Amino acid sequence: MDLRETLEKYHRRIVDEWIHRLHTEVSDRYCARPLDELFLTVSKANEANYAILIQNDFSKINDHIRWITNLRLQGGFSLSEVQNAYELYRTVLLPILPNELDEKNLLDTLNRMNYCLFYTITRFSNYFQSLHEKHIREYAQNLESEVEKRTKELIESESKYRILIEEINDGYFVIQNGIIVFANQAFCNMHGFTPKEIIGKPYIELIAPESLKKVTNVYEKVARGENTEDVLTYFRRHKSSVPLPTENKIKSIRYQGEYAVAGICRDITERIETERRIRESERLAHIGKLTTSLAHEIRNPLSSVKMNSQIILKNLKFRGNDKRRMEIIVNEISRLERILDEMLDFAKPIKLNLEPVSLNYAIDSCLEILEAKIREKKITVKKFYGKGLPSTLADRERLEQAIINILLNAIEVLSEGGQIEISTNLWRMENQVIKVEISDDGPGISLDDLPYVFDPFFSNKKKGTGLGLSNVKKVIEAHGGKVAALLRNPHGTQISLILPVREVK
Amino acid sequence: MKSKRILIIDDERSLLETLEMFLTEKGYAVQCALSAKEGLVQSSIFNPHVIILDIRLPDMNGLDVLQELIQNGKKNIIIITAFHDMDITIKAVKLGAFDYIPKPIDVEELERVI
Repeated sequence: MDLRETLEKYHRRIVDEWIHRLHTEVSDRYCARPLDELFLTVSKANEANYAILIQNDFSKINDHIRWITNLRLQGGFSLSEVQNAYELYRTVLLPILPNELDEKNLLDTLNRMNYCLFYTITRFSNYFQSLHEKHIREYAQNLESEVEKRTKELIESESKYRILIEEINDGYFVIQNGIIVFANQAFCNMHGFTPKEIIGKPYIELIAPESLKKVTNVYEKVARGENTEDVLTYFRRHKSSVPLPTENKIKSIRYQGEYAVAGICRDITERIETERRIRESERLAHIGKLTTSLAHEIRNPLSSVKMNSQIILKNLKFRGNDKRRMEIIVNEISRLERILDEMLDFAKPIKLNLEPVSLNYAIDSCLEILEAKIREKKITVKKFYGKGLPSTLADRERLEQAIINILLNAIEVLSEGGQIEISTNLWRMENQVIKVEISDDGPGISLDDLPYVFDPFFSNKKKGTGLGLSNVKKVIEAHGGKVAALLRNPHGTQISLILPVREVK
Repeated sequence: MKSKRILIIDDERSLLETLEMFLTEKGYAVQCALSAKEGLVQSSIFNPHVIILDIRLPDMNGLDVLQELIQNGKKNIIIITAFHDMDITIKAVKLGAFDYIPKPIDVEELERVI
């Protein structure tokens, strides 16, 4: 038999054994391939080898190498694995050939087979490696553009955060070893420094002395990695050395590869002020209640004292100064009663009895009531009434009481020949308001006292209860208005009332 | 017997009148002043043996009045203080007030002090 006959006779056996060995002996990867695929690749390889050995045709093996290289590179096969797969042809064929070929034919065939495999493996190696290199180059290129893309993304996200940090109103800062290494504009503004001044500053210089201990305690805890209370409230130290209420939240972070503390701090001056005002109004409500019960408790025994004193005064004949003494008793009781009335008035919630009121007319009627007192002190009253002031719905009686209270204060502080000015104006703000200003050229109020003049029980008068102006405020605010006290130049006080106009329908 | 002269300086008219009546009946010669300034003037004209001074006056600080009276050689100054004015009372006694009487005034105690 010649080689052609042998190969054709054993065709089936060669392919089957090649597949079997390939599937079991070469590698895990070949083992994992489906047999259908191996049948296809091995049959084609066998065909190509046949073409070389019998027809001296290398075109089929060239096609096979191109095909198989791409296939196996995609599958992640190594060069040697595929080389071994080609080599199996020799292993399968060698036991068959000596039985079928004569010695001359055998030697020739072995030579041809060796050349065939040498050709295949060399060509395959070169092709596989060049293709592999191309793949790696492409991968590297991909990697480069991927890195470029990621870097760009990172820069974008960094700038996004930087903008966020620079634009927020909360202060953001980073401290390393007690030194400020980063601070945003808000943080600089909160402390009154420029960014240049603040970077490199020891953090403790930005804490008011009274809060130093508290703040350092918390920072030491964070440095030790302990949990701390979520929010730290303390006084920061402004460049001007003024302590300002601040809220601070800190966290331990890595900054430029090293341990650091980052924090967000917020100015809470406004919040503290609001809280103070709420406490203040609660305190006033409490005083109000206390005042009411106290006033009632005092009023009852007082009225029986008064009644009995009046009876004694009427019925008895007195000796010497005793009648005068009884008169003083009765007068002083009446004075106490007036004070109690004022106190009760202060504590009572206001119920407005609304009717159309002309402010100018109301002020005139107050001046009439006080005419005697004004004349007694030779006080000049100058009126600057706005023309065409609309009537507004208001509680005439209470409004007049408020105006009388203001006028009484003015009359009291003025010495003889003093002057009172009263002006009324219509203002068009969001809504129409009437502004009433009552000024005197008396001694005025000290700047320290000015913020408190509308507080209940605040008085500079020896005989005052301190409820006059607080009642004014109460009445005006019940009308939805506002009150203010100002100092006049060179001396004197001005009380202004702003009343919203409620039109009469 | 020539009666002792007492000057009362207090801006509370009813109290002033009450004290005046009481002390006059007890045989003292009493002079009243409604303000610190008036009191200072009266003290030099009237030359009282005893001065009763309300430490809270509208026109001047009571302690200043006290100091001025002492500088003018006045002794036996009794001050009238409100219950809650312990600080001022202590200062007044240190300045040289003879004694103090807290409000409300007990007339028997006042007589004893005088």
